[in-house]
Amino acid sequence: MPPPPPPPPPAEAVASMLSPGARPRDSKINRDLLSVLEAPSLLYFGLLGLAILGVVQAVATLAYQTYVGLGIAGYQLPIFWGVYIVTFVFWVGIAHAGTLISAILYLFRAQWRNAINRGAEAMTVFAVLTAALFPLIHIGRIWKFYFLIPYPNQRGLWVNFKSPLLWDVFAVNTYMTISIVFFYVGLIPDLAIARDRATGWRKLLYGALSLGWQGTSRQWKAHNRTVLHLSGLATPLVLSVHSVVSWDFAVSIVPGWHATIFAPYFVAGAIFSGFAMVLTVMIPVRRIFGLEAYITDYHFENMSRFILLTSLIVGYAYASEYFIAWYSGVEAERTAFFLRAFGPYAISTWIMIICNAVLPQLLWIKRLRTNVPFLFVLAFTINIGMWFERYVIIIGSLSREYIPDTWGLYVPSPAELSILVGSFCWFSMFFLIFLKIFPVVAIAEVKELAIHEKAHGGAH
Amino acid sequence: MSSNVAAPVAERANPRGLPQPLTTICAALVAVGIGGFLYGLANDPATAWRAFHVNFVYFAGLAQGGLVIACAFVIIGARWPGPVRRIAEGLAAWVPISFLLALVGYLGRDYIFPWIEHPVPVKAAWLNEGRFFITDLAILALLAFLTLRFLRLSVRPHLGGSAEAAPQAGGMFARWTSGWRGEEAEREASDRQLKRMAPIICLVYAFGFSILGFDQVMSLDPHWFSNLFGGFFAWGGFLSAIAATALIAVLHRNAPGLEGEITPSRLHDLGKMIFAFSIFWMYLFWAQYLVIWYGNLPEETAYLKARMGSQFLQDSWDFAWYRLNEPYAKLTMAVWACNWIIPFWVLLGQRPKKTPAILGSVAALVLLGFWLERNVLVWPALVPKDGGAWLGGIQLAVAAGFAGAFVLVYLVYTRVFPSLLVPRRA
Repeated sequence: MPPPPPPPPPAEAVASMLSPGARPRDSKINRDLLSVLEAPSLLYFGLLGLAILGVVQAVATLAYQTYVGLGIAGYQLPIFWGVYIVTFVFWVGIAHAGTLISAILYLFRAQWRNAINRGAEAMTVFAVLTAALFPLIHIGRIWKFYFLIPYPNQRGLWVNFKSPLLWDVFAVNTYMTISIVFFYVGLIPDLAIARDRATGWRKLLYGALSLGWQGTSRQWKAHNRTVLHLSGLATPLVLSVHSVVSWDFAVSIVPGWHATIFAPYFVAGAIFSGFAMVLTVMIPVRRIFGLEAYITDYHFENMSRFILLTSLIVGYAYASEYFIAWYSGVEAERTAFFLRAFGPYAISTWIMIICNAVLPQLLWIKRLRTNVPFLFVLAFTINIGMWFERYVIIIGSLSREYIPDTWGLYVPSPAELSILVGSFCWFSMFFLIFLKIFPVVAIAEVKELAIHEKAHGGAH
Repeated sequence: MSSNVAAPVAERANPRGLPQPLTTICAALVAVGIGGFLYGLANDPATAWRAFHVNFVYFAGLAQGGLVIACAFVIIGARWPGPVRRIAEGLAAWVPISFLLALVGYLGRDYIFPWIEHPVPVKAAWLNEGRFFITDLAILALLAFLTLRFLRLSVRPHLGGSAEAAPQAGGMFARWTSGWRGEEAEREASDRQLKRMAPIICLVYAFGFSILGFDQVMSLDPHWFSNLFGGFFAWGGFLSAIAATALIAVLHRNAPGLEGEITPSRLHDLGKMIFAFSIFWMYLFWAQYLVIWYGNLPEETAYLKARMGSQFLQDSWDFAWYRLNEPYAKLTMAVWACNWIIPFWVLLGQRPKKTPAILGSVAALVLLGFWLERNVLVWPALVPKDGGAWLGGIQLAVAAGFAGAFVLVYLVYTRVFPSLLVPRRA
């Protein structure tokens, strides 16, 4: 066997990128990726209008709810955590893919992340912004929200540090801060590219936001160091945020909640749902803006594998929960899990199991991992399944606690559904605006990948 | 980094014969272990069997973890490890022996599993001898089968022509390379089949080792349960395998055939793995501890109290040294120190990860830490009152025997057959 030709040293690859011959390719990347920012179509305005309308109706509901009280959200014995908390957990979960892709995959040197990280990071920021609304909506008396902020108020009262709900405030705010910083730091080089090609108000905006970026080697060095250190800081946060959210439930002794596996199980579920949401959003974006050359089968294959892996972990957690509930011999636990599968919320449970643990197994088939329409449908069902997972956990357990005398049933009220719809519109609204203002694919990183591919003979 | 991400290099077998005096020392340790165990059987069978069980569990997790590392490299198509993958595979040579040892352990079941003598009625459907041994032996047998198949597939394409050249075990080389179709075809077939097998092995490992964790360790305290325990147990085995791989890589850095292969960047990556996965191990512990502490249900806290002492189950910040004198409390803290505190602070920077002496020492500490951890999981369930029960002549002799046997098996695998593959140089 002849020895394979040695790969050219990176220096050579960089030189070839700098040579005049490489220029057109470079600017083609710029052109392609910035073309997304061009003047929006009527369809775009239609969608944006729809999203804003959805937000407006939710705001109206919220105003009405604030006026008459949480009763309209169907809060009554025994269930005081309803769709608001379910949706809060759902959106916090969605927010996990972005940081996982930007921080952990960066540290693992998984270069395939480059084409999707910007979209995922933006989603993360918007999902956290959506999630952060729900504690406010849920407390009913919104003007009392400052009780959640850890400073002694005028009566010298501190917040209750032993309450997991307070831990949420810390965790979600930290996460929001770091994901915004991450998102912004990654944007700077691209904003400079956009600045150099823009006119009018955009030039002003990009010029201010790109902080005088010139792309000098010193700036790049500082930039890369920042990203590396931010990744190190953000990695534990990927685990901590949803762990803390899971402890909202697990530290109490409600049957079906008090489980040690909750923290890693929630984290895996969050990454799972986050990746599904990335697919749900990026597949149409790729199609509409013709980004097929940048977001390729290769990316879909890798995301599919991640979804498969996290689906297996989630399936493992379901199995382990059921097994230990049975093994423990504790009557309340056994009953709680029996009722999950065969009680009043059985349909939700089976939706959750089928969408999250069964259907994703189809991704074992290689052909399906790159079949874009299939992935879109699958990602959609996963989003539904993950919402129902939280629904099953929260409502199912609260409705049947230890004393059968206090058992009750809960059905989501119209007010809750209105705000649920509003949350999707709120998220979509931000994302649509983002699409037209910032480059949805990280230009600088795609170029880096192009250099890398040259250096290694297109091994990617 | 650029030299590590090149296309996979061709490898060759490198049988060098058993090294002396290491082989003799290992054989002596095995003799000590067997002697100590037999002495224990005659005088204190409970202690002998419990020590056997601790070491059985520890080395089973370590060996299987080695294979899972290799599988993970195959699944993600990692190109950085190079010979590191071969070292991890070498650890897995012990897996079939684990299965045989489980058969031996069956004889001591009455001393090891309290629920045999005092059955728990509500758990009788799961904790009964028939179900228990059939399931667990089946899992170990399946894993042993898959492991041997994986190892054979993995080394086969690189053994071409070794049968004639090998100083020993020529017959084995000939058997493992029967039906040779040429190196190119062999490599292709091996890659294809390994890629198919690796995820299956990981799945069997995850579910199988969770059940083994629930059965072999958690059931020692038959009233306690934690649904993360299976995962926690499996993760411990995986992390100890990474530590063992790193330690061996450091020790092998000047071995003939591996000169210049154990590069600082490979050590850096191994260091990162120990660092990150040790944090994750502590996280898995914390996820259980916090939920149990906060829930404060006596049937759950009892398990932690028996191991950590009451200090860590207070409802205030009061700290009292005397609480650490409760049985096993200090041992638990030694486990934290070895498995998390020291690896975290020492491997935080880049340079310590790349320094062989530092990385090797931390890896050795983690290996010791997990041995202590398995002790702290097993002994308090069986001898709750005596915090020194895990340490004694019999216990140390049995541990020495296991360690000697494990190293011996690794040596035979890496030195005689099929030997540690090394990059082929022109």
